[in-house]
Amino acid sequence: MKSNAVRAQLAAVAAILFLAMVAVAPWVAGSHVLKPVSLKWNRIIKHKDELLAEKAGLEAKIKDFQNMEEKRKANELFQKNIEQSGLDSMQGFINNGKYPIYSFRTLQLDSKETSFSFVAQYNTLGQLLTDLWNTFQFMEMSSLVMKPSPNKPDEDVVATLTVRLPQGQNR
Amino acid sequence: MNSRHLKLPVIVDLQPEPETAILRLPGWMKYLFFLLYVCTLFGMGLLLKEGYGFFKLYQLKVQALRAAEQATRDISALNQKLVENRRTQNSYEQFKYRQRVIARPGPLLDWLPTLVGRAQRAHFISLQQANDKVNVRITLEKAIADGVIQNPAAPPDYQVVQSGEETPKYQELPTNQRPSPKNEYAALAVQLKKQ
Repeated sequence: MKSNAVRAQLAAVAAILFLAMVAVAPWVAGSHVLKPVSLKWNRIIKHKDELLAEKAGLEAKIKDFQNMEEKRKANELFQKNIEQSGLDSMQGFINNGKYPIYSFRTLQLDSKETSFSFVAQYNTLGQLLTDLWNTFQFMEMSSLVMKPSPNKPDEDVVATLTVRLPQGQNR
Repeated sequence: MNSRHLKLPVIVDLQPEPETAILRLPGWMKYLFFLLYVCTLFGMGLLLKEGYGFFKLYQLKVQALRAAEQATRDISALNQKLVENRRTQNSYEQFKYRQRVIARPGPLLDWLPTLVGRAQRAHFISLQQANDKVNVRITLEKAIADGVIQNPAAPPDYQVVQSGEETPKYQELPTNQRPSPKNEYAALAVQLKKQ
């Protein structure tokens, strides 16, 4: 009889404990399972917001650059002009028969400077120089010496043009 | 014996129900059970609410992961574009700067005749350029008593740093002429600075 009473008391205590566990289980689940996962997910969402803010900042920075396509094309043209401003093309340009010049000579002073010497009329010389600079836009002039031609001092000039060939530019 | 006359055996319960209760819970325990019941109900409600929030958060997390992946790709592309734009802009400015600093001969060539007087003739012209400085030297054939132009006007985009008459050098003179201040030749030296 007594052992039955003890078993009954134990069963009652176990039932009460079970009910208590059932009662607190939702809070435990909320605080120990859902909350840590929620924190982790909130960090993911916050990270996404940061990325979107960074993206918006980059887009704003890109908008500050204007007419980039035109500038890119201009750069290509400039670069092409520099690449074509070689010694051979300059010699060909001056001495191609278009300009009435004679006694044409080229003297390469060093790796950068080259001197062209020729005899031409003053007007022809002016036209040639203008066309030369319009064609080779990055050519730098070091010096230009003009003196009367010994053969025709009243008509022709001996021009010595020293130029620096343009160096390539990193793009 | 006919099966119709068979009787079921009588079961005798050897352990009858006790007359007094084995376990009698105290009266306050019913309040405890009620409290546990209420607690369980609230807990379930809370769990339902938290579960709903958790589900919404899960949806947001899934969307955030997708958006973050897309944003990462976009940022990478935008960074690349930004670097490309900076490089293009930089190159463009360098090209324009080079174009600007390279002196065009047009203004100088147009300006040279203004240095020669009506009764004078230019014999030798030298034009030397270094950075933003230009040295112009003209040997003029003139009357002995005549002088060179004083204070010549500067060409466009230039300013005159100094100018003056000098004795021509040997190579600036015609053949068989010696450098002398008392002959028909005088050199005009002008130093210009690009503005």
